[in-house]
Amino acid sequence: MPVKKHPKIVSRAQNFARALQQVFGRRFGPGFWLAVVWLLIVAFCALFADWLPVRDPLDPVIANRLNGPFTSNLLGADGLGRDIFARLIHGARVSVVIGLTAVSIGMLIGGALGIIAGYFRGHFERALMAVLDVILAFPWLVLLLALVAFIGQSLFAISVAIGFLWIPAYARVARANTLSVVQREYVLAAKAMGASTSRILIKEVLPNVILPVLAYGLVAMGLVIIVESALAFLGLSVEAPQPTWGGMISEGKRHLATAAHVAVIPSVTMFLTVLSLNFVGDRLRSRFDIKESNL
Amino acid sequence: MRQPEHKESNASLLQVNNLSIRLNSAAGLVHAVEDVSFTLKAGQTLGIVGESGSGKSVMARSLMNLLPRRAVALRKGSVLLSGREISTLSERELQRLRGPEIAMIFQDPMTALNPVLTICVQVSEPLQHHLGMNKQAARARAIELLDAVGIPDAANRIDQYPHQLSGGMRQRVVIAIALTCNPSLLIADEPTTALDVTVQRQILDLLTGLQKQRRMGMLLITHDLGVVASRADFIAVMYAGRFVEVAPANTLFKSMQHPYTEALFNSIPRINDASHTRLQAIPGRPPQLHDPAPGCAFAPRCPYAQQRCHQETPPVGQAEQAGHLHACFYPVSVPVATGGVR
Repeated sequence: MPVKKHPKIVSRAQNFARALQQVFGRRFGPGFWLAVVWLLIVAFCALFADWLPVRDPLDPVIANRLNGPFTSNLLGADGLGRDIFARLIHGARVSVVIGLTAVSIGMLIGGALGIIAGYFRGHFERALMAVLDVILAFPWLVLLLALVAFIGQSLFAISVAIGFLWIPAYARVARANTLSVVQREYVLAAKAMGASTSRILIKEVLPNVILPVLAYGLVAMGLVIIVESALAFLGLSVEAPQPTWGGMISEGKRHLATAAHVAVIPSVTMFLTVLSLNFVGDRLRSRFDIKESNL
Repeated sequence: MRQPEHKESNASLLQVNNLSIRLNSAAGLVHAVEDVSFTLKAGQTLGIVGESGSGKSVMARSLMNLLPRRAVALRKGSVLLSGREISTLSERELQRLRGPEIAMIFQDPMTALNPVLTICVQVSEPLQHHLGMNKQAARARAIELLDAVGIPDAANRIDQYPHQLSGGMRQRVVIAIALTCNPSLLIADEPTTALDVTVQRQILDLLTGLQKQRRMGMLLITHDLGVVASRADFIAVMYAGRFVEVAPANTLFKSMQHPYTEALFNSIPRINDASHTRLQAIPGRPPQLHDPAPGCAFAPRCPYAQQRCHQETPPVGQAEQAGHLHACFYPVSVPVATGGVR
């Protein structure tokens, strides 16, 4: 049989475009897009904090001390006279970096463990699940404090410590999804065509497990930001004077009676960010769920 | 690649001797396959007929050693594929065997294709893996294969995902995947059960056509006597894990020996029956396969059962015609009129 020249070499790209259209073309509602815009602003601030035309977040101007919003400073100044707006923008960097790193660590390690446990079952699964249950049963704040005391307070160390906390959750999500994927006939079919175990894991299981795991990521990121601020509130996050949202709330609590804006403004910023993450994560997840059930 | 002479040779392609399989289950040991023996030559089709839970799929999977190791409590007997014993092969050797030597078509094309990979990936992967083709060559060959199984506009269809194809199309893709490495034995495990009747016929015709053309041995597993009637060279009737009757297809329909075969045959609706004729269903339920009672498994439902049937398991015996085997103390032996089967 002569090999026919296939006329549509671009059809793969077209397919992808069509898929994107199917996912994003349907209405998400204005709330979703507002949340996306907010997240984009936060990400932009985190990325370009050093080049944005804002004041030095570390520069105390005693004259501006505890000034309210729209006075000497756009969003006021804190107890040391530092510009709150600039500190918010630089604090976004910490939240975003810790959010991304911690979630990635949890996703990679937890996801891999979960897939392996769900595919091979047996003793490894039982042992892993027992260890994860122990971690989950442990009070997370105590565990986190111990970890931070042990590995230090650098940005990376904090990310690793929080990421570690997320391993059990991701392992469970990945394992549960793997268990259901392994039951499907296409995995057996791949085995019947002589596929090796690593091939089945990478080509058959992973692409089917990764969507629900990724969808969980945005929601998890919101929680990570809250966990980081809890640490900062206790003074155990990234060391001062590096601004973080949690640290700003913590510093502001002293002035709550006289100058509430010092604590309220970072709180509202964080609230909006976590809310947006949950909102977007939730919408995307439900969209992917619908897509799954349509297949 | 294998030489055609090898396939033409008279040696049996697949030889199964006294295969028994017991599986672990929550309810106890399941006697899924009991003492099954048969041989299949290249280019022949063996139809295996039996109701749900009679052990057809377990047997088919055990031929490729595909049953999960944890589930198998006991495996006796031998499976020889082109003279090679399957059950002693290592996992690595099995992986080399699956695809180029022996391939399988699954029941439900909705679940037998991975929803997140394009058809191209799924068809060309075995080509790259087993035959060492590069991506372009594998893609070109995959388009040829899709053409061969009757997918129109294969060059464009190949970049689609399974959910963009209809059920019949998907089953054609599944068949194309099974054929990628030119297997000498094809196991079709209820290939048309999930499809509607008009598509069923097309798929079956396609399968038998390809099988003749490539001189593959084929195991056609089904619960529908009509499916195998005109397409199989031999028919084996399976009940409670045993082959209760094996015969060349035309002999079987001329002179059924086993009461179960007869009952199965009588339960098929016929087009020339008077209207409102009641179908003759088989009374009772299929037997539980764990802790089987002594005696013939069909005895509780058998209209001809005697005292002896409940106590001893009938051995597989020879009927008058050559190659016609049955396991019954009191074979029906009454010739049944042919015809009326699809």
